[in-house]
Amino acid sequence: MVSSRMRVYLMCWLFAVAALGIIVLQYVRIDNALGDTSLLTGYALYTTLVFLALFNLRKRLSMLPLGRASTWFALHIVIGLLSVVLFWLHTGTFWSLGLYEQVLMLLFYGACLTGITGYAIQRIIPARLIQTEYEVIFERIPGEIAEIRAEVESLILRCTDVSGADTLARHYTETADWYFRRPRFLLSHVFGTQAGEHWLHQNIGIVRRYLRDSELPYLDRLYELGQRKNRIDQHYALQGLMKIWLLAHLPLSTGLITLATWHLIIVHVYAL
Amino acid sequence: MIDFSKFRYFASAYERPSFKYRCGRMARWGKACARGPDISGSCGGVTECTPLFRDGRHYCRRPKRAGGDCFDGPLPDGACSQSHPPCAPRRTLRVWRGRAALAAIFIVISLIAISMSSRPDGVAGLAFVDPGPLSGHHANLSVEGSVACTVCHAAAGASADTWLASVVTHADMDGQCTDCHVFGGPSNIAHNRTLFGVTRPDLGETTCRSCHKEHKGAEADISKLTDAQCNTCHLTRFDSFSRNHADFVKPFPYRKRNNIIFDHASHIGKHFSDPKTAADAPANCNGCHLTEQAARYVPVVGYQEACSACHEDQVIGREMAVLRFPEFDQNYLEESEILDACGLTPQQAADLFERLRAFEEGDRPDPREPEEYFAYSLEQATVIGSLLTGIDIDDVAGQSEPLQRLFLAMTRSGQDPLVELAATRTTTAGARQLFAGLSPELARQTACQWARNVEYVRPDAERPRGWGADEFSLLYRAIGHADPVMKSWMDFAAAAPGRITGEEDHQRALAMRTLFADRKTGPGACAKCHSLEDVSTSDGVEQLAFKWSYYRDEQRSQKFFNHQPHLGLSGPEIACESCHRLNADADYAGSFEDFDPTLFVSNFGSVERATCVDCHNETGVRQDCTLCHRYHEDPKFNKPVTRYMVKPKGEGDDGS
Repeated sequence: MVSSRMRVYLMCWLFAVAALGIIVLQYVRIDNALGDTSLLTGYALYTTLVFLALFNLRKRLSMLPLGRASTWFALHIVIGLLSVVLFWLHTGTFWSLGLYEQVLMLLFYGACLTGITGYAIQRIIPARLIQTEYEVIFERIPGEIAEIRAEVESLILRCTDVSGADTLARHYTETADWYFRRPRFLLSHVFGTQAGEHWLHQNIGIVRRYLRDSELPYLDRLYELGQRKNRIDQHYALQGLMKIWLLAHLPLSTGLITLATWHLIIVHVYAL
Repeated sequence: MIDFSKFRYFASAYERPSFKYRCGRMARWGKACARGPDISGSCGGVTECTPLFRDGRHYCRRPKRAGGDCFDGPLPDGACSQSHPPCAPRRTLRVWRGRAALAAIFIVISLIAISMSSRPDGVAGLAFVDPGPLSGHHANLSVEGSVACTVCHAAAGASADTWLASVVTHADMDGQCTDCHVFGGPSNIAHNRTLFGVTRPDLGETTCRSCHKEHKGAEADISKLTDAQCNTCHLTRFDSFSRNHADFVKPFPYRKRNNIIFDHASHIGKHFSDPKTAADAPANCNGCHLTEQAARYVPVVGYQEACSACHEDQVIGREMAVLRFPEFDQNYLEESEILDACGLTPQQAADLFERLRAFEEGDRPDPREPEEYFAYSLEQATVIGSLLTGIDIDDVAGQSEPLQRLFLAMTRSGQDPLVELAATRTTTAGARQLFAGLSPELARQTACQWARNVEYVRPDAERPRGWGADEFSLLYRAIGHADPVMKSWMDFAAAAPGRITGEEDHQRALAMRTLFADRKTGPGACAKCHSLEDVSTSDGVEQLAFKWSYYRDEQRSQKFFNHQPHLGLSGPEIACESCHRLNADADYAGSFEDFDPTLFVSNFGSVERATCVDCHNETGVRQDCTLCHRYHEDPKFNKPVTRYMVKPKGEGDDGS
């Protein structure tokens, strides 16, 4: 059974392959007829770049009936890859010699690499988020951390009141407070290691032998809250990664479109 | 696991990540206030609500997710009682993305603007226009010491408004190319040629940039042409040379004869093995062909090295009789005219002396009776003299007076009357060249004798080379090979029939050309080796010419074969025979009887494609079209190309 998502991608790929086939056939025909193929490939490439840039516009104009965002996304992916083929067909080389063409290539390769990286992130990270067995909205993560921190501080105060001992309180202020202040071990979460879990195990568990029995339930609860916070940290790191790659992709893409437009002007002024 | 209770309407705020600002408390990992930042970026959470005034009373409006109505309620003045210090809202990630995108655009535009600003050297300022280094000699083009963009791009040196207008106007790049490059035909027609004078509009026009793509670096091959591109236009298509390229049209490549008549078969098969000439014969092809200089052609050594040992005697042995003292029917000249020009002969002086002495002694001899005229010479006028004077060599009565008058004129002015006559058949300069080196005294002395109706007595026993005379003829003997006077007579004879009109004169010109073109008896033996060829122009005037140079390069410019790499394959001594196989049965000499150079029978059998395919195949060396075929017809440079060449440092514009 083919899912609707797969069907969309299948259609997009069919469209892209057909378009590329037509362009390549036309390219061969023009080339063999001693024509100028760079016009065909250049304008086709510029059109794909503009179309790829329209995806961002589509997201901003969500009120208009411009098709489903998922379809646009699929087209963005497929046509983005098509543009790489068109780019090499157009330039005929992996690295140009002129300065501005080198900058243009650098921007194109940068936009492509960040785009492919972003797509990989979008495909890999959600699965890893599910593995945390916890869900949280990215924008609410600071609030969630604040709630946990408030609960932890309340817990420590109650422990001090009930047990009359300040061992756990001193341990919190000297060690555990650092952990609950903000998301920690972000790189570890991105790369999938368990640094946060280890830290909790070592720094929360180590104090158990110094506590009275009446303090132990509070320690267990502190550990539970620490584990919850660890999962939230994981969400923050991974969801943040899903958002932050655009910070590289978008400037590279806009720079590329700008310089490609300049290239178009230059070609028309000097050669056409 | 998610706690869905947090999303109940009274417990959950609506997240708006597309807003420009987010709560400053949240940015410091605290709990965001319920109201959030204002759209202007200022803190909206100084108070927890804006109380509602209704029916003369203020009501708390704190949302349920922030705890609902507060215990203190609004202050008497209607202000919220729950106030906090303001936070510093932060920009969201979306804003930073937008700013980064705008910054990228700004940076790119700035780079373009900076690079486009004019620089004194005119070079660095082109960084964002120049798409890369030029190839080969194009990189050396210069205009007034700067990079010569304007040589190819008219817009490069244009004003700002013209530059902008160029975006939508057509740039005539081909026109810029043909400013320096010219071909043997239209530049925008395939192969620069028309097929039998007819263009093929169905093929469309070609442009220079179709194949020549510049700015690919100094080492780039900007003239590469693929086999597929050839196959697109050519009706006879093939996969590869070795597989199904058409066989060479026989006799390949001997479709047009050489300028020099050299019968390889008779020389190799007969003369080189003759004991009389074998000593001077070359050992192999290298004896005459300079294989070390082989390229498209394998040049030959000159006449002196290759031919003179056997043929020099023929060159200097065959004299040219320009003028002859023929048989006359009567004397048309007054004796006094001859005496006035030539004076007395010794015999006449002695006779006069005897008569004077007898007169002094009182002897009065009877007046002399006019002597009856007897023709001293029974020779026939020359063909050359016939053309120059317009006489018929068989008409003794008709030729007598004109020739006698010519002789009388020569007695007075030497060779000048002959030059004047020749000038009526060719140019004055050409006429002078025909009689260059002819001594006026020799002309006068021979003419005096012939005018007196007696033979000329040559002072030397053996007649030297150059101009001379015997009893009845004014002669020219070639000084050696490539004698300029003899060449000018050959050229004159070849061109005369096409230049001279009038039935009788034309026939005389044809007779003269036949005389010079005779390979066995022709003067100077020039025609023995130099072919006489039809060089008629398109206006229909028949024109023949002797071919003096060895090479023939016309209409072959688009095919190329480099002999040099092939000679080394099997050694220079036998490499030639690998392809050029002698055909002893071919009527090589007979093919020069006609003046059409294309009606040619070579000494050699046709070169076969199979011979080439032995090496040029899929598994061997190159076999693409451009290995042997050149695209352009007769590519050349325009003279003005030199104005763009870089001048050495220190050299002024005035060439100093």
